[in-house]
Amino acid sequence: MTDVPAGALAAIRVLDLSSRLSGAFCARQLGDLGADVVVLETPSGHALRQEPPFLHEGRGEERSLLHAYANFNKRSVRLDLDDERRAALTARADVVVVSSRGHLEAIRPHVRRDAVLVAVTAYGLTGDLADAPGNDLTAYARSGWAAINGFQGQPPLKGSSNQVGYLSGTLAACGALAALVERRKSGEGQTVDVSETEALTITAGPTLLMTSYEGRDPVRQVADIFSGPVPAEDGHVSITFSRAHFWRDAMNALGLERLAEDPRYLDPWTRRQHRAELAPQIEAKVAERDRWGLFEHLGLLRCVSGVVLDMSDLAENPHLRERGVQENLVVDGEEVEILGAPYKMTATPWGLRRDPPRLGQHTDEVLTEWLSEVPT
Amino acid sequence: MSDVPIPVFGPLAGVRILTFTQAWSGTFATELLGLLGADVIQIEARRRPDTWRGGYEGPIPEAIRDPEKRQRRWNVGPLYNAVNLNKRGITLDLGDPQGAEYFRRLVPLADVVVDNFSPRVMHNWGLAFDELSALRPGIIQASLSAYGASGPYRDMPGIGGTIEPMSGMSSLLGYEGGPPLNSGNMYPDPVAGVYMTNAIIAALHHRERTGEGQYVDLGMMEANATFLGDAYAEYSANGKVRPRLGNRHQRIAPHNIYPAAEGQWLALSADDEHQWNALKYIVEDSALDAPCFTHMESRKQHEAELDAVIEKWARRQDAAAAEKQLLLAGVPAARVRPPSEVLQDDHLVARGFVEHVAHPEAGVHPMVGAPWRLSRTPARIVRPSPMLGEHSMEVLSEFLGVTEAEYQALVERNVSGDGPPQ
Repeated sequence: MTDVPAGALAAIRVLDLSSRLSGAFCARQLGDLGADVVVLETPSGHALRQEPPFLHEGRGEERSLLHAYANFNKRSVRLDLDDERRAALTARADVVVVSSRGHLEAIRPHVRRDAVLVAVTAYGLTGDLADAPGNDLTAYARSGWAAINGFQGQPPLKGSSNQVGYLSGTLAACGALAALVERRKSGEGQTVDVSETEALTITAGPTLLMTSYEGRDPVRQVADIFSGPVPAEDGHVSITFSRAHFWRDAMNALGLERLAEDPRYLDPWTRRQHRAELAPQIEAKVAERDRWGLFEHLGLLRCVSGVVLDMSDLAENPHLRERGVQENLVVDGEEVEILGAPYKMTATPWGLRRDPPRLGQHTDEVLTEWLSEVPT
Repeated sequence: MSDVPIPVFGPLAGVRILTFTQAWSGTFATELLGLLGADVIQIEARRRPDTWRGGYEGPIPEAIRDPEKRQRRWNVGPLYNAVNLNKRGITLDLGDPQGAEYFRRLVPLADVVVDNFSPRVMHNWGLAFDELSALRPGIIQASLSAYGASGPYRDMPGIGGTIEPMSGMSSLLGYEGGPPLNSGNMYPDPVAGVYMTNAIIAALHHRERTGEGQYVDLGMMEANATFLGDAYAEYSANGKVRPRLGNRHQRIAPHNIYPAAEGQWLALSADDEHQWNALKYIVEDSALDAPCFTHMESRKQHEAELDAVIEKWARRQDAAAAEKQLLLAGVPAARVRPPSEVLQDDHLVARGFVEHVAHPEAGVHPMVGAPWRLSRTPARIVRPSPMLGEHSMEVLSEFLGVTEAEYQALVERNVSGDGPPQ
């Protein structure tokens, strides 16, 4: 952990005043890139410290694994809400991250003119909903996502845990990075306003324009091999038939030669007309195959398929191991394996630089470092 | 290059990107760069146009058919047109020696080269990082692929719909007790894409300071897996494989999507005691006073009973009115909107998030682009997604001084042009 090279954001100071996953994950990603990130906590600690999952399922301010994952690569300072050194720290930061409009307005007078002020909130800083309560669930409902996700005849379905926080935090980091690049030219800061609802809506963009072009709403899926994973002998697999050769070669590989050569099925459009009769035949063959054998067989034919991996499968997966994705964090004195780098950079690599901080672990150290300088 | 007639705006004004990205993932990365003000030149080959254009043959989407207008199927694909905003589109066939030569002449004018090919393609074209760096010292090369440039799956093909299962995403998506699911939205594409954008902008920041370029290698599988970071840590620390939760939450109850009147659906949750009390006041059912609903932990334990009480109330509610009432009371709530209503939303429109974009062949449509409101250098939509080869002549003449006659010669040999190869 100590040998990680300096990152692309070396010498950038980030003050994390977030109270939501989105802002915390945004700030962490700047730390992943080498920034000096300080999470400024109140005596009760960052809100994520109270969120599950917990190490060995026991609560405690140092035991939240969500906190550990979203707050590593940061130092922690604990100060009372009325401590005036909060403002002094704010005035030293190049990037300040907040999670609400009220908080932003309260700290804005202390933020330097050349600092980038990032707000990741449920609905954004402007408009009627700026102060309204929102979360993952409401973002899925408002963005069109829930309406088309899941199965016909069943309720609309949200995405899995915490996706809106991870996604909007990553998009917010993107905005912050762009503002930092611009600052090198202009010497000026600015506010980056990211709405969690809008971040998720962006990922429905193709569906929204398709709806507009077709003049009718799409509906939730039918549960078959054309929409997603189906059972194999020892798990689930997904197969894509988007190109003509995918269909032909996959049908041959499954022993469905008759379907492979039938001209009616080569074109995806006409194939869809026969979906109800085709799907059960294909699914019966897939159910006889072991998932990895089928994945490798299809891959050799340049056909696209995927095995449904759960977290235990990911932990054993040889590809992720060889790519060196896993890292170890110390959480409340115990080593916990996590997933680390999402990308590889040759000159300024992603780096695990610091374990998740204990509440207030770096208070004295940071106050000395950050506040000893004469403000510019 | 001072007379380049591109709109100058955004934090990345002055950055030039050459990109081969297709479909969505890498395309999303380069679209974000374009929305931030970079000049993004999207390169396609006539014999292999972007698959998201939908192919050369086939019907024009129903609601945009206009007999008065020339509409070419490959220019009115909704998927392509949704995700290539702000780019200039050129055709250049790098499989042709002359096309490859023109590309080499473009490289010295670029800051970043992006692709989403299998790892071997850029190597085979002689466009590996060392070779690009020789043409343009300090260049940033960013390659996105299903599994990245190393490891046992390096050469395996993959797309969003198969990365969703391989990254662990599908295993957590679905109804409680139901099978693993893929999203209807090809979600792994933008997840990997935004990470790619972040790596590219970080590399630009580093180059501004040091002059040094670098190579970025992104594998969609691992990039997406990191969005399951807490579930992975839960398994590695506790040995527990998280089940699919449907619309429920690990800690919070109520937290669900309930049927409302007239076939509508209403999402709501009570994330703390304040919200719970406000919800109780609105639902006004004495069943919610039961001792088992007093604390969050106990509400979570009795979630099925709790959901039944709330559902009984929700079924009688107009979803839009209930949403308004709950939000005013401080309770997170939202009517489930069908896609056709999302971009009519007053709040999203008032924020300038929805923009009306005019496309020469597809007409005017409300669209979403930039997920950030930047106060001083706004990101915005300045042009629709390009038609196939729309800017070939413009870009080649602007950057390389190619004449009309030279361009026509390229068109005749199918190296450049704006439609199917002849």
